[in-house]
Amino acid sequence: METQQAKTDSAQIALVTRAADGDAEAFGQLVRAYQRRVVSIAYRLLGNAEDASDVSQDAFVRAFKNLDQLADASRFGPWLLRIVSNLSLNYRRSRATRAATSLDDGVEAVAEIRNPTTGLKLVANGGDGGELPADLQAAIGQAMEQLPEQQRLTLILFSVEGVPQKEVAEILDCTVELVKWNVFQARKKLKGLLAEYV
Amino acid sequence: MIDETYNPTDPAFLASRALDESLTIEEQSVLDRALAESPALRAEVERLRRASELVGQWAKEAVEIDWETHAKLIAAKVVSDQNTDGDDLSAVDGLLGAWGSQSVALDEDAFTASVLERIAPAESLRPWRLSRMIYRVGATFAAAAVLVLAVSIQFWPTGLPDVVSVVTIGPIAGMREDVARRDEETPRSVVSFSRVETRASTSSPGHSSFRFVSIGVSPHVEVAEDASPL
Repeated sequence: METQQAKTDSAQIALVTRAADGDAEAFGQLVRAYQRRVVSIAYRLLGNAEDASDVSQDAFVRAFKNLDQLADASRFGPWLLRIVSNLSLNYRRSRATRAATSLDDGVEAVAEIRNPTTGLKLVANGGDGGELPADLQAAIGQAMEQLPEQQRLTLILFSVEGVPQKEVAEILDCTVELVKWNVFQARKKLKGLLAEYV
Repeated sequence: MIDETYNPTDPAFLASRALDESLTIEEQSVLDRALAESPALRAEVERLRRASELVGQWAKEAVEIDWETHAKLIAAKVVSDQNTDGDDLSAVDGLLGAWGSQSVALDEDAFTASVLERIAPAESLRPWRLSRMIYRVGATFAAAAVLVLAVSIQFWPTGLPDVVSVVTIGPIAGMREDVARRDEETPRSVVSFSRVETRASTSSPGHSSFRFVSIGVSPHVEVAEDASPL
């Protein structure tokens, strides 16, 4: 007897197959299924919702253009998360380069480095309890920024987004053991960076 | 100082994995013994837990994304383009979990619509992109072939008769017979040139030069009887 998960998987495989053949409506259904996670990962990696929106849309567009390169339709999810992760990290590097250039030149960098911009507007809301004092909120954000790229990405995917370790390993193209180790290293660094608060 | 050398038996690593509930029974026993014996390790684990908890609380900040406005801006741009073109340990998880619970509200229909608008032109560009790739690869090979043959002919031993070389870009055609047989049916890029010998005289030394005959795509390739095996 076919389980519900198996039905879901086979339905998604069918959508991916149709999308690979150019069926935009099928791809639209995939977008609806994955957009929350994609946007969330981009936001946590970039720390800026406008950038996160641009990058997440780019990720979907790139995924659509390159669907023919996806060997196994059942792995669309990890493949998509890998795309958005890589795009987000690349965008961070571009942003850092732009900021460094701006400082060197003494000129504020205001030009868009990506084209087209999607112009997303974001509004930060209070959470459902557990809010932190502003200074601590900022300190944690800065500490996350200081984590090495791979460790930050691993921590966000696994500990924050709840992606299973095996899938994180697939996204990052590494072993499950390395995923565990990177999470451990990230936690150790955070402990040191947030020593004042822990 | 953080030792980043992988050590699967590091008690702190086991403690971190305990937060993720990924320890085996044996590993959990090892960790329990280490915690019982080392107050320093217990303190270390507590700090890990607290750090993780803080991250979780940090993630509770909610962000609402105005996707409707976003979609409108995208649509406007498209139109414009068309016109112009464990107890203590669990608290560590709580920190990350709280951070991870940060919600992102979005207008799913608007987001999907904006993505679909962007992929529409991309879909129509697919054949063009493939042709461009083939053209670029072909042009690169043709240029490389010209350079190699040009250099080769300059260093060819003197005394040879005129040489005609043919380079095909396409299906492998290592034998002249293959080339002659298939040239009627398979268009290919051709680079051919002849070597010109001049005799030495009493007033000037002999020299050789080459001249290009054709470079391009031809449905027919003529192979001279005295063609060089180049």
